[in-house]
Amino acid sequence: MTDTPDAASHDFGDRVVGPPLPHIIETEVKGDISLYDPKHERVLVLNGPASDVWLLCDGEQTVAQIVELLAVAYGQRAESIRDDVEATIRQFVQEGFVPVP
Amino acid sequence: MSDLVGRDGAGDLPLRILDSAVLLRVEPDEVFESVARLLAPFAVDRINDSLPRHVWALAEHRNSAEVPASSYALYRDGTAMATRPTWALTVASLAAALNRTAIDEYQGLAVHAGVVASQGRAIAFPADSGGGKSTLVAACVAAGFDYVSDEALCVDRDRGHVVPYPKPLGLSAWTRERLDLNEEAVAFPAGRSEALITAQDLGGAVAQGHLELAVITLPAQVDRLDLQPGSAGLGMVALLEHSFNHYKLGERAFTLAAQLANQVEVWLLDYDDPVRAAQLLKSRWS
Repeated sequence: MTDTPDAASHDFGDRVVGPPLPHIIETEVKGDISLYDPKHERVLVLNGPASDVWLLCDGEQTVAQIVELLAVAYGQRAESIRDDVEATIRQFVQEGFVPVP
Repeated sequence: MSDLVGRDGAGDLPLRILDSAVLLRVEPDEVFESVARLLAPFAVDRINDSLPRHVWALAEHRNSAEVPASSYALYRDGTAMATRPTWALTVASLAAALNRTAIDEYQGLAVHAGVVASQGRAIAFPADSGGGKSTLVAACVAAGFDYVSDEALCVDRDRGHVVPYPKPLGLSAWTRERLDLNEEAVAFPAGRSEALITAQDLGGAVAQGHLELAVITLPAQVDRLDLQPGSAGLGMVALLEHSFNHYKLGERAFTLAAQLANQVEVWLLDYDDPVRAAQLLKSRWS
């Protein structure tokens, strides 16, 4: 994506993520989140961990804080989940569901 | 004359196919009988004037007085759509054209899928063309499921129920042989590599009324037979990925797919033999 170079190429652990763009429609499917962008007719169906990441992209947490919160929730070390969490957030940004942090 | 259908006039067959109204005119009586039998699930007494309406006609077309060879033509609203060398091929063109029109004019969510039902609960197999939908559906109908469609899962956009779309099944020679179908009893147009057949030809019945979508089964043709639970998210992805017309419905397609994904069981079916797969499904959902 050419319009999100920061999210794709830089460490953004200290940046606040979200809140989601206002036109994004969110629904729950058996506990997990699915997202719809009506402007671009784009759908993102999230699994459980990605749903947790999405719910924490609330405009108040930094990426590092999201990693820490999920590490505690999952009983894992932050280093072991950081790459996955950051990749998920990058996907949200690159696909236009949250603004570039 | 068949008692399965109503007729406006000699050779006229009024049909309602999903949200489309069709008046079908067929010249020779013997061809009319075969076509009426194939399309019997869509026959109505009269056409609802509020629906999009098309007049389709099948007629013999003699090329010229000097050239006695005949061909057979398919017309839509007076315009020639196809000319074929045999009735069988012309009927096949008609079936394909009616299918395209019905899906195109359907106002609800249409998903590329085979669908069967048991006791009012529908089981859908979303898959692309060539993915074995028709064969799996035919095997399921032969195993005792009711027939819903070998082409599309059609969902009412307001209430979310499944609308049966029991078009003629298009089955390959391999499938007909695997299902032990009697070629004499089956069909029109018999003798082609792909024949059109009905649920009755399979010993089954067409599902009636509105159905509840209960199961989404994602089929994969691999060298084993296995049925494993899948996630609701996979079901949602399958509904949207295989949708014919989600772009027409916008947000409603998304919320409808979510509604359906929330209400169904999702299963992953690995199979190599459609008959054994159908028996497995029957043992679980009969």
